[in-house]
Amino acid sequence: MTKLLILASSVLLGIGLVAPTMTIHPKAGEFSWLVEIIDPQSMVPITYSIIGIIIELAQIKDWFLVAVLSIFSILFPISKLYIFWVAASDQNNKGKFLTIYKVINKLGKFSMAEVFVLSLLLISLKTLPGGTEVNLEFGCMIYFLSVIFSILSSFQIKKSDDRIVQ
Amino acid sequence: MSNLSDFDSPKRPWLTAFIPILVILLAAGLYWVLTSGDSHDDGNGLNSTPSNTGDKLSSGKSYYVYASEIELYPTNNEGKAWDTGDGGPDIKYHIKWLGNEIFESTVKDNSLLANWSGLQIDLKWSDLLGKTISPNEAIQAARLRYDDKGYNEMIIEDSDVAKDDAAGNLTIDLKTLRIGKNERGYAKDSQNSVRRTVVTVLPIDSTIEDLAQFMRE
Repeated sequence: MTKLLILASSVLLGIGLVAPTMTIHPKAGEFSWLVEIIDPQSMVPITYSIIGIIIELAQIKDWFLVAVLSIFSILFPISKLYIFWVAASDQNNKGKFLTIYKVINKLGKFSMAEVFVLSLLLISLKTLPGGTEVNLEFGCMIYFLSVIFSILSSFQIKKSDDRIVQ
Repeated sequence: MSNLSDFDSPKRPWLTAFIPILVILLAAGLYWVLTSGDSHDDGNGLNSTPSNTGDKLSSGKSYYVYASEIELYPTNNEGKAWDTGDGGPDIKYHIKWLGNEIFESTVKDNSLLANWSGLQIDLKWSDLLGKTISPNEAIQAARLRYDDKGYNEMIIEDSDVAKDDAAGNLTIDLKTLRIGKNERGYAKDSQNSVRRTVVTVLPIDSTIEDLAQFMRE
């Protein structure tokens, strides 16, 4: 059951990283019509995936945000699933289990970190001037589902861990 | 306490733990492959040619008309240099319709090849405090109504402080114009030093996308 949850979370994470996450509809307030004439390309709605956002940020050399998003949106969830899989596979070694149990406990505190980062990004885009709108796409929902599945698998592992630790 | 034996557990759990990573990569790769064919279709239609490009003008309908490009020969009508020294001509044009001057362009200094985008906004510092600009104010073009027998005149000059020098006086039969860009070449003679013109015609009721398509320089 735990492994199934981890695999489901992995599939959803894989799709969630490359599927459309958000669409930005640029607006320039009162001058929207003018910008549409002068530079229509800049007013075209753009759809990004999480990977797409990171690539875009790398192209403009915003390395801080590249690092933050890469760590919390890609590396951290993948590492978490990796550790969960190890924990789900290796339930016989008590010594190792105590370590994994601690790691999972710590990881649990960050389990919504990626959601938090995405929320921050959305909030910052929502407050752009000129009435620019950001719409969430299905990729975002898939990504959140992956997070929920990974949380469920962590509960399952903790349950098994607690039984073994006792 | 667990009653599982070490025999049941995987020998290399750290290695098998790469399974979720492989699944993530496979899922991402599969999704990418399945959807990459759609990536070029942005669905906004801005890159498509507006449906009315090259269409004839309709009788009774109003149009924006402006020269998006004017090229002059290197010498004036008298075969002399345009300006004293090395300076090129300062090109401007007027449009006359039914005997009335209905539009005068801005001056493009020292150029044999002048471009106008059909769009211009003159902002002053005081305007930064608040100014409302309508599309009609910003569009720099003559406005005229089409009829089969109509024509307009385009008077092209080298703008000088003392006296503007004529570069050419072109009569354009409206029947020969099409919506969009209309390019024409002219021979040099004692009355004409205009090598080429590109006249842009747009329906006044054009959508913002059509205007955007045509008015970019």
